[in-house]
Amino acid sequence: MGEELVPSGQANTEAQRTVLIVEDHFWTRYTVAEYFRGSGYRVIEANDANEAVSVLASGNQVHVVFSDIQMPGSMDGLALADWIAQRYPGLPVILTSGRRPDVLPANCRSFFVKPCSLADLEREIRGLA
Amino acid sequence: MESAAQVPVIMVLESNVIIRTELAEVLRECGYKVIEGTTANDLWTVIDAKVKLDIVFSEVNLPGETDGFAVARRIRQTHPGIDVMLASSVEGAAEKSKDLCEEGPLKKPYRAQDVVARIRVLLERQRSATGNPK
Repeated sequence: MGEELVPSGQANTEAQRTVLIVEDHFWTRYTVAEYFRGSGYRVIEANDANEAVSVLASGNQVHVVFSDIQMPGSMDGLALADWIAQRYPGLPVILTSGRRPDVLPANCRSFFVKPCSLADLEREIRGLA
Repeated sequence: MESAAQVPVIMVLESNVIIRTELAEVLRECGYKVIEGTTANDLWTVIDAKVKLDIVFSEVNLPGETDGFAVARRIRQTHPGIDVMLASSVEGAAEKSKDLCEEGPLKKPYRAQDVVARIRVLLERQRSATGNPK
């Protein structure tokens, strides 16, 4: 994965890959985050799309974004994916929801119906990050 | 080497994602298990699930109906073995919290090292009180 995916000029010399999890349901976010930390990833937890925007805009190096679609606030997961596509076109996004939307954003590399298998999700993320 | 059950568990309640992430990462680098939450409800979810908790570090101004003071009061009543640390940028918070935490809330913006130092003191006190290694 190339350095063009780095949201800002901040270099991260660590080999550890970073997953940004965007999920408003606390227990789901905690469970997924702990799973990926246990698998060796650096995980940043965002409670909604606005927090995800703050994380990316702050210069945190992120290699893949895993986001719920239905979230409270001004942006849902689809709007977040569009925002990411405009500002960080190389940053892959994985979306999840209870129902597959009719149309997925072009930067959405894969979609998981909730509840998704964490092993399947990890396999997908390993291929991207 | 500490087993997973012996690793101290800190829950950080902070609504600012940048502050929360940075503090949580420092605490993880110190070897603690960290659970990140944004509201008091997240804490109650963890407690209801009977997840082991040693310390709750909470900002005073939490979103939702329950602020950090109420969190501290309830934890002290229901789970006296869990220490609560508060952080606030609000003037007068120290006076209001004097009966809830000994040293008063950490004033925002705080340094992560100061949080770690207080956590170490609290864990040492818990260890002395229970005789269990943490």
